[in-house]
Amino acid sequence: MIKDEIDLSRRIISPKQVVAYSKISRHEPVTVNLEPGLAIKSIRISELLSDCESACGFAVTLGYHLEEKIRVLLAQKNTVRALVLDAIGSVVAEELAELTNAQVKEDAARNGMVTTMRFSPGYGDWHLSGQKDFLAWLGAGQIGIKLTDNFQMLPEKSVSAIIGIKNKE
Amino acid sequence: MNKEQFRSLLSEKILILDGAMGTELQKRGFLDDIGSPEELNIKYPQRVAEIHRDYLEAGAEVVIANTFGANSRKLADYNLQSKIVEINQSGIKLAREVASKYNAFVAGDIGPVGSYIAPLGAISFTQAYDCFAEQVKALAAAKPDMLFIETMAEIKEVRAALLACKDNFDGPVIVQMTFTADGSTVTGTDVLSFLSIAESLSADAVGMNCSVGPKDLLELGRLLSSNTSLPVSFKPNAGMPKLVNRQTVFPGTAGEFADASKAAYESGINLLGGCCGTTPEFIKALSLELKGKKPAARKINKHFYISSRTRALDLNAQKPVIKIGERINPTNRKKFQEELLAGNFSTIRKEAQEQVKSGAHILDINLGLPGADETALMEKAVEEIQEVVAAPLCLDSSSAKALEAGLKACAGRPIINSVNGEQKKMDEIMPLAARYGAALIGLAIDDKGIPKNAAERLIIAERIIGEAKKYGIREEDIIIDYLTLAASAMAPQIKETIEAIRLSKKKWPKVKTVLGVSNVSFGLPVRQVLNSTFLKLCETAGLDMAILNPHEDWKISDELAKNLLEGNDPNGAAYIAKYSGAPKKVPAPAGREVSPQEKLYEAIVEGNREETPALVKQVLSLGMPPLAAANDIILKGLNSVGEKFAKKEYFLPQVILSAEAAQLAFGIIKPLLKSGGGFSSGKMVLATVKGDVHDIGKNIVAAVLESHGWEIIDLGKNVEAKEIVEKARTENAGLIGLSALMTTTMLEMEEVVKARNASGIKTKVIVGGAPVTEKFAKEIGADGYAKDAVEAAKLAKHIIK
Repeated sequence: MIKDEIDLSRRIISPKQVVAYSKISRHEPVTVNLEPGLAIKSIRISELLSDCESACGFAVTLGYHLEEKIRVLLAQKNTVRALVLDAIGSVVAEELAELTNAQVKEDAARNGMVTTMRFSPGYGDWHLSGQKDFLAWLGAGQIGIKLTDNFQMLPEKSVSAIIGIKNKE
Repeated sequence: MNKEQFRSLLSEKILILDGAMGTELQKRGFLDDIGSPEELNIKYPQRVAEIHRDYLEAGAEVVIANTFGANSRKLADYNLQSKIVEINQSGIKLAREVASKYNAFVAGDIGPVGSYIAPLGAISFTQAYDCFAEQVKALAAAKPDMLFIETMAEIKEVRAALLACKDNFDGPVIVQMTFTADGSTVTGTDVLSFLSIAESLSADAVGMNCSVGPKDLLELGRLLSSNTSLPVSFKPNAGMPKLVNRQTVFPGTAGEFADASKAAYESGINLLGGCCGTTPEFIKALSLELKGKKPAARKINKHFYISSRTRALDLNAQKPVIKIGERINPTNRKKFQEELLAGNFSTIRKEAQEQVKSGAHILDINLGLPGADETALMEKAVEEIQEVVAAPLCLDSSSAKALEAGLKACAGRPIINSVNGEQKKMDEIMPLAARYGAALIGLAIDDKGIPKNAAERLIIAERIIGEAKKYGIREEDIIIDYLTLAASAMAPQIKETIEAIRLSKKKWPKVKTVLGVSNVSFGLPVRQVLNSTFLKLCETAGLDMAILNPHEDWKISDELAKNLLEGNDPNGAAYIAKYSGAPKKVPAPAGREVSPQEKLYEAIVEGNREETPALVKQVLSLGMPPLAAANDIILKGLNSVGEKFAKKEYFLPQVILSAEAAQLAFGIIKPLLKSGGGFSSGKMVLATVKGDVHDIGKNIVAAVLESHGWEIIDLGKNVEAKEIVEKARTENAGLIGLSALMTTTMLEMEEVVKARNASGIKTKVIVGGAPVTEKFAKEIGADGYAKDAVEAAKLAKHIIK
């Protein structure tokens, strides 16, 4: 059964990514400024990026078709299939974030740089409401990611994160 | 321009199409002060005209109007659906004004509706069709020279769009899908499956656009042009787009684009233009290279395709005989029938998968069953089967309505089984085959019955072929069934069937032949031997396809059987003498007798939704009181599931499967309880709170609680506190269940508690969700907290008692 859903999900997932590199223009204990015009208020981010000259932000999404299908299944009371598809979506979204992370790391390595761990809005003291400015800065709207008034990304199976880029020690 | 003019023009010269509209609008900043690109047609037409003009200057001979997303579903995103006619017509009109100065053609543009058709998506085939038809009508009234259906990713949507064009526009229609580098669309349709649909629905040209860059698309373009005699269009992107620093970057150059286009031209492609990222500069390079040329000659493979979403089957290339699996047919299968009547498709899915595993190329679907809604069954069965297998389908019904439902639901080109020589039948079924582009099986029988000899059967076949021609159904779309009779009763008739196949293949080499094989052995022992031997004889005579049980052994060829089939063994005496003693199937060894009660308990614990209803009925018929069945078997089973879940032996999917099995059981038991004492835990209003659109967790809770006897009123997601409390009041619900998945939205739970307190109702509130804790629940004044669905069931029971 799970295999069937994986086959189906292959057809209805349309993965997309958006990546933005930027110089860190200003660095304070509680705020990091990225060009052009993004301020992230978070001590954790500030620490994470403390040795970094630049950072890379990205967002990935699996598109709307998967979620539309899950909604249909739920409406048909086909809860198990919806659950399995939902779980597949979560795994794929995480994999996609991993893949993007790896690409950023590889790019950095080519320039003799290393990357930090990745960090997403809503973790630690980077409040979820920071998602709004972050996604706008990324231009995530271009791959169809929207934000609800309560800062939830739509499609649900979307991930955004920031990675710091620094010189090898 | 009509279809014939289009065809003849393209046989003389190729046409240069324009380049990208969307990316060009974006690049020039024309979209900065507007939401929908199509709104420009009525708000700032001069911007669109400017781009058309630049492409015409660069050498384009066809401009494609800015109507790609001008369908009511897409326009509704910008609240522009009421302007659909205006937007489409202005799009054509403004393009015409510019193009007329260059003596160029104007095309209307049709893109996807934005939702996939079921089962991949949420809309029905008819909804998609209606949406396309509305746009096509608006476009047609403005008289474009041709229509492009572009950037399609889903084959059912292609069918809906082509039908909408066919019904509402007289001019030529070009249909293009968008392929990924592996040669299929994101929904899995490959180039040839697409071609089979486009040709069968009489598209005037086929092609591809967008997605991969020119070089990768070239290979796919060659594949297309070497398999069709239709004009082929080719509109690659300027390379694969990358989104870097908020800018879409297309890495390709005009030179690369022109090189790939030239190679495409050399393979016989005759409509060339560009998609995303291409600019007037690209079109200029293309035009300098190719404009005015005569199309290059093509080498075309002859084929006869039927298809599914992901596979095209070329009946000409497939040798030996093509096997059509006959097992999706409930005749004489009581359990299968009961399942279908209960709306259970598990056997259908299983039969589909197993037949394909046993070598079936095509699956026959016959759902004729007394008391059933065959039309609804056919639609659902087609969707279910196409979710699990890639084999093309053969829709088998005598009801035109059921056939049409199946044709609409089918992703791909199916076979219709069948018409016969009766005028009434042909009048009814042939228009369907023509409209939906299906292949058609014709039985060599009419109202006078089965003709005795081969020559007379050919006369009926001739009548069918002639009648089909009137609808534009070609000889190669027809498959004649010369009918298998039982060798036991009509041995001499076998020769006539084989002879009819031979004569038919000689007379109409393009017309295919098919036989339902198994009937030949009716009433004789060891049927497999006869069936297989018969098939071999028919193959030698030229049989193309056979409807059979693919699980049987089709390699057998037996001398005695052959003797019988050739009429040299009167009454089959020699055959029967040898085989009548052959052992029948050995009965399975009997194990310990398990009582129906135990079986039902097991079925609930295992979540066996297929067996549960029958077991409940059996248990009840043995005299167990319904309430006892509910409490002592079903709820006990569910409790065991809860324990397994707590011990991590079970995970969520198993819990839900059990819950669904239990719900089926309660569905049978509940009506019996109404008279003799109630069994209901009470009513519960369930919702995901305002601001939160997470749904899945709440639905799992609903499924599990329903299985514990709760009547669930599910208000869905993003629900206002007031609405939840109001519903609890009007429904007199004992419980409110709230779900929230985010730290920002869980605060809304407190609002619900406050609203409950303010309203004075006594309904208890329980809460749950990823960020919610016991402590939080206490703080906001909720009456309980559950960490998962199984706990929620326990908690609900506890709180209400």
